[in-house]
Amino acid sequence: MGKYIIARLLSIIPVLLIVSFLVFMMLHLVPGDPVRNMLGLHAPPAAVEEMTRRLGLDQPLHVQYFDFLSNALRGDFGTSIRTKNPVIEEIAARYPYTLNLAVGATIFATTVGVLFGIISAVHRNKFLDNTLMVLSLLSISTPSFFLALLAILIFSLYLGLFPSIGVYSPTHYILPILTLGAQSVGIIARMTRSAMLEVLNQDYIRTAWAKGVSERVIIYSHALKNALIPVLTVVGLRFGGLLAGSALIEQVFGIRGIGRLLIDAVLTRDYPVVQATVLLVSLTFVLINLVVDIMYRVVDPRIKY
Amino acid sequence: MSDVMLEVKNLKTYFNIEEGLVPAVDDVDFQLSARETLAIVGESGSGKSVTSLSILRLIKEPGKIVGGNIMYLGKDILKMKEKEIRSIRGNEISMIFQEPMTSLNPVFTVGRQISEVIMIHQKLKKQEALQKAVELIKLVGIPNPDKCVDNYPHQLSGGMKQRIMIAIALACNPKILIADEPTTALDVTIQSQILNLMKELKEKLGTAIILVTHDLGVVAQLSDNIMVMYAGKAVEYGPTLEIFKDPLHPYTEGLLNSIPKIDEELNRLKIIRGTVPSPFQLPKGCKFSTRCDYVMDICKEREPEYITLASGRKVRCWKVTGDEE
Amino acid sequence: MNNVIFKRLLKRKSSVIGGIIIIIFVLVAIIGPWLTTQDPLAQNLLNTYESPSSEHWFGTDNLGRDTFTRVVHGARITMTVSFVSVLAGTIAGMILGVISGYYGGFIDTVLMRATDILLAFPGLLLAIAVIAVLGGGIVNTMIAIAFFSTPYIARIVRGVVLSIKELEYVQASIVAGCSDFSIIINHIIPNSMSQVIVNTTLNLGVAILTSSALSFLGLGVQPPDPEWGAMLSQARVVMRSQPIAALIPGFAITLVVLSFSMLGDGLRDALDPRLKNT
Repeated sequence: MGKYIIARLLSIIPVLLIVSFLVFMMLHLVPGDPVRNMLGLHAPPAAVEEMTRRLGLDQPLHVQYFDFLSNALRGDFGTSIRTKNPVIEEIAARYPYTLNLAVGATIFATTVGVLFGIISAVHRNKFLDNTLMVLSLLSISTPSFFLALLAILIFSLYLGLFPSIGVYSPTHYILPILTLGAQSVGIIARMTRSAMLEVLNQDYIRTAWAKGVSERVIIYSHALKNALIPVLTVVGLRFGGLLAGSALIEQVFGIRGIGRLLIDAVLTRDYPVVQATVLLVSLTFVLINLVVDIMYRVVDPRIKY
Repeated sequence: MSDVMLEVKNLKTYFNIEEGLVPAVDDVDFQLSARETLAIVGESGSGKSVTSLSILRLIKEPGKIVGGNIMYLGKDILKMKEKEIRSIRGNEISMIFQEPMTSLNPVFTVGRQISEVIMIHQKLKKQEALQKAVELIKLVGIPNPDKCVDNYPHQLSGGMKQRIMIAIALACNPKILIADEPTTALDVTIQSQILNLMKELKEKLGTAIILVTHDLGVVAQLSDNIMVMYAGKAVEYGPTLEIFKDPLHPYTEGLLNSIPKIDEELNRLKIIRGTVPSPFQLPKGCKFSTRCDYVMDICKEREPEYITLASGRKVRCWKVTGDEE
Repeated sequence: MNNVIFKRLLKRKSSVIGGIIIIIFVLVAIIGPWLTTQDPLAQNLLNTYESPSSEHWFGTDNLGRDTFTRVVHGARITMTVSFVSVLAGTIAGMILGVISGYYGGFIDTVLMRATDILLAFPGLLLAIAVIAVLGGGIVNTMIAIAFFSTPYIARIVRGVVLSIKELEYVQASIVAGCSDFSIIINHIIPNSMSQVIVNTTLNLGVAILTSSALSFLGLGVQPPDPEWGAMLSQARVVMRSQPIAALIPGFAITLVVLSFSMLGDGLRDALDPRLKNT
């Protein structure tokens, strides 16, 4: 098993290299001169020259890439054009909030989603199933930022139950996490439902019935353990979606996470920040997928490592 | 044979599917006594599997048991509460299925799957149950039972998986074992191994067996009595030896004739002409009339009754029972 | 064959409702702007934050513009952005899929690895990255969305090509001298159609969500264009005084995406040969 983990860790290196190269190229794919974009079209030529030199943009491409990589590995992503702070500091200050949101939303979505999916599968084609599936479809179709606005309207402004801005206490996290995770609830519920239905049709479930096992044990043990395998993959993929989607939630709730950082950076053409953020999110995402992959092999004994 | 344990009367199990209503089991009667082995024989679609599944009420939507009684030791299984029948399943009446490859849960060890049934019905602790599981694995003839108990199903061959199924089924020493085509999915050599195992265990433990199969060779080896089914109905019943020597129903006759005999010269295999009718287009009158070599006018008009003859044999055929009005 | 599929589709009430709503939406998008009497961009600073009235069915926004008119015009923007980008993505995907499957070898490996990586990443992140490079605006939004609509279609079509390649009647056609092009037209496209249609329908819903998200963030369609996501962004300001009217665009987005999802689901079940699953 240890060997497998090492092998997988090694295998993500090519992926990371490609991603880092693409992120690096972002700066160079910008139409027009990136420095002019950053400083503004009316910047004096002297400033443009100085910035170009400082960012190393006058060097040949491969040298630039090498510098980019070696700096990145040391944690040096340059300085934010906007705030003049080291990029790594800006990110470090904000990443924890985003992670909290994403992890919280994942836990919420998985628990509720799996539960809904099981209930739907067991009561297939009856009222409970149809209702839950309509709710799931609704949650998938509602834009998260719209849901967030509605939630603030209802729970914060009308009912005064939860705070709506910032994250100064645990309660502040409730609405953001719920609205961020809502879409995933629907996706996970549908996935669980179809996985459970397929599993419940299998011969080994019939064997369990013939043994006199109770319905509850059959569903939550015999069936669920098999159905969770594909669900796990979806949860892993969704985490990436949640990382990205948190940008929207942070915007609505005024949370200082890296989602907002990224958006602001894109709007102000703060390329060093953009590159670093995209790289970091991609790295997180690749690692999460790795973890899911490994867990996959732990849960399903048929897969040999 | 005394002590009738199981008595099935007028069993009707229908399937309500998109294309229509399928009478998979249509008014079937039979009995099972202690230590008896009864074979239920028929082609695919005859209703034999559905009959066996109905006994333990393992029929799921869109199928439903719509009529009849299944009397087990005097109580009607079809009227029992969920808890009661659960205590019978795996305990007093067990079942093994046709597909050993898919009948075991892939994420649990074999030992856990055996010990589970023991823990449910015999209130043993986990360790003791696992101990018993090891003994059972040994009983069904698998080498290295201590290693095997921690194996997962995908690590075992088809034959071994079926042995595990048998171990699970016999773990609580049931009075009745229902075996639905237990050897059909296995290689021929493995088939005979499994059959011998079943014979051995039957003798050792005194279990009554209902053996569902289309293979008459299997029937000959194991069963005391045979019930022949066709298109959802029972068409003949009697002791194995007698039926083999002197089949009464034309269908039974056809089945026996289609087995090539080793001392006979044959250019072509004898077959029963025609095919099993679609359940939506069952012929009027006797269901076998479209394929019968002895078909008479009355066969096409009215369904024959299931008559018990003086010898104790039963048959559903106008040719045999005549038009007794 | 098509009749059977159509009938199966009609059986599901949800897909019928979805289909009807989409047709209404398309009609509104095409004809609506001609029928509205007011100018979506016309500001009237004396009339801001008005509640719904007979003159302004949904009230006015923070700059005095008629919300109803803006919503109707927004339908056209939403439809244009999503349809064009998804269509472009689908066509690009089909071409790539055919190339990849047909020619195999190195091209195939490279393309498939690329789609692997693309598919693994969340769509919104990709879109933001594309916008970061190209800048905001409506055209770049369409490019960004086309970008992530392509990979899945490419895989589907490639799969079809691979399975078709081996079939005897196709090999016979090749031997008989049929050009590659005719094989593509006659065999590959019909066989991949059902999966492509389902996927495209669902992609349309995703496209609308993504484009409105981008506009909400200020990265997509720029003001004063009445894109629904952008309107929601402004609604935050207006929420206390004009809650529901401000949120109308959000309901519109949800309704349309829901319709595409229901229709897509229905299509998938209707076109699926193994119908009996759910």
